[in-house]
Amino acid sequence: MEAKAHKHPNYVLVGIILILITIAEVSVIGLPVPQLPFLLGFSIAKAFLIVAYFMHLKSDSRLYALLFAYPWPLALLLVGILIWVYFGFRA
Amino acid sequence: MASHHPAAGSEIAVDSRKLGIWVFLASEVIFFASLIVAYLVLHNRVTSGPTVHKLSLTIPTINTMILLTSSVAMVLALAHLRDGNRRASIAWLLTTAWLGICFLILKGVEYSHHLHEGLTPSVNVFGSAYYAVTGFHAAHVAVGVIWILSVALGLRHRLSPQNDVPVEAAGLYWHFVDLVWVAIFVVVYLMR
Repeated sequence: MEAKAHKHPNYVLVGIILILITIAEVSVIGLPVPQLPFLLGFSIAKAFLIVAYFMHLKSDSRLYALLFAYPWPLALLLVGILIWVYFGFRA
Repeated sequence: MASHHPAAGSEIAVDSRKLGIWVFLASEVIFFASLIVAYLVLHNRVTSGPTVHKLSLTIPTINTMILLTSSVAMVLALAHLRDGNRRASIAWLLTTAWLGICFLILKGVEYSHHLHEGLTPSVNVFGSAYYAVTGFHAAHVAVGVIWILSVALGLRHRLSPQNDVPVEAAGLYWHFVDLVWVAIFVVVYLMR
């Protein structure tokens, strides 16, 4: 089998960082601090590591990144509109 | 010299199979966003019956570790295949599938606890939203396990550094399922 020399990121290290972030997420629960900013920050960091390193969007074709990026504003719009409509009608 | 890469000759060097997977994943973003927003809107509108405080963190936290580890196993499968080590690649694929099965078993145990405690899909709006979000995710995990096993066992003789797209496509799907769990873990289990 023909082998090509590839330089890969340290995937195990990325995995360890993801698990450490998860431990930090769970540890925040119950602490007397505003939890939402921490939880959002931790989950965004985890999502970035997964997308950039495991899904290779950091190094792969920009076209894939664009394809994957375009529904996120739509999804956020959907979240915003639905929450606004629901709470708007309840108010 | 003619190239045999499927994307060779196109103006943008992309593989149509990978392109298809990315389009599919883009549609899945909207699907899971809809489910998660439905959960966010409905979960604390409970007038009677079990609420979000019924949920324990133990099994979901273990399941998060399992899925993150499985993502590492999946990406190592692709890395080994690209380095020409097919045997190691298949071993990592099987490890990924096994971790996915462990996730599903623990999910079943968690559901069993909930059902025993009266948290059923029809008990109230929280139950419906909770089972819809986590159930659809678990179904995606099950599809991912079947997909990875079919690549590892069915295509094992055809995988090579030149033909790595079946592993990469299954991996993209698997990492996306992991990504969705990252969101579900925070929204359903941590933000109460």
